[in-house]
Amino acid sequence: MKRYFPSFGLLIFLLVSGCGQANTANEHLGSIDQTAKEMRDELKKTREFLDTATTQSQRIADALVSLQMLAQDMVKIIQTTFAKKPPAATDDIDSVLGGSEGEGEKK
Amino acid sequence: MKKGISMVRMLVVFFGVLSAGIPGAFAGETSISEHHCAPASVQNVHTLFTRYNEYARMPGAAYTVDLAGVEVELIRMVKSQAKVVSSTGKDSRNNVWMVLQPALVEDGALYPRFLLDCNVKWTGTNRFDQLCTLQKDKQHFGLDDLKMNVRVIQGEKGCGASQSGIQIDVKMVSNPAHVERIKSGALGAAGVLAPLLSVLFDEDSFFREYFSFIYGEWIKTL
Repeated sequence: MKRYFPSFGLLIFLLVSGCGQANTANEHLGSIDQTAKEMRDELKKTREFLDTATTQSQRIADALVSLQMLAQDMVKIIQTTFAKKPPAATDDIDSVLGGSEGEGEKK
Repeated sequence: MKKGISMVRMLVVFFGVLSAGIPGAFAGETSISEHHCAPASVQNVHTLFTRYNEYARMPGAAYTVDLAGVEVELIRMVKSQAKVVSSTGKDSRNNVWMVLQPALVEDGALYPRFLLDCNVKWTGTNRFDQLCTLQKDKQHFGLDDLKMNVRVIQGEKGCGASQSGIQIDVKMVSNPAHVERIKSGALGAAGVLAPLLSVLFDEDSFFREYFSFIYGEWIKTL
């Protein structure tokens, strides 16, 4: 009986030590879970931000397209409106020298 | 000359005018006084400035602005005709008839036009004066008075020895009623661009800037 005593002590030591290690591991796993949860929250916030940014970017892109179309329309209007036209008939110098039209209006 | 107006600036002007109403910026006397040194002999300057029949075909006849990348012609000299009154040696006197076509104005009765009495007098071997005055007793529209005084001196102090100094003084009196009629004629055809055109078609664009521009373009060719 006495012969087994040292082994029994060793067994107790191993059991106590194992329980301690298990407890530490458990605490560590708990910490990992907490970190993972925080990361999930952060990812969720990031995803929401990206969704908002995507929506806003799409609106800006739509607005730019509208502005571009407006600018193109303006250019077309300007080109059409200012298309060069031949001048109307006007008096020549001979008829002007022959008349006396001080008020500016052509008689 | 091309005046660059960005799309943004154009839109700002466009909507600014829409909200502010159309300003009436016509009336009164305006003038130009500018000096140039041209790399040319006094004889070459004389030849250029007295090509009265060619004015409407010379560079500068059309005054354009850049609207959103579109070159728009605001006003163009469409007729320049001359009749010699007298010629003594190198001095000369001419009647010069000018007609300007503003953009969008289709009625020829609304074209600015005037008959000038142009006197050129040489005051030395290397200098001459050119004075053109509007003949008020003859047909004119748009302007009630115009005096264009040019003094050219080769080797003038401040310019190079081989250059000619060109002093340009122009005084003009626009006729507000005529200009309003010209403007109405143009704006009527302008549609949605009417407010924008109203800004561009102010007195400066019509006459002061135009005359400054045309002399500048001529001098560039020397």
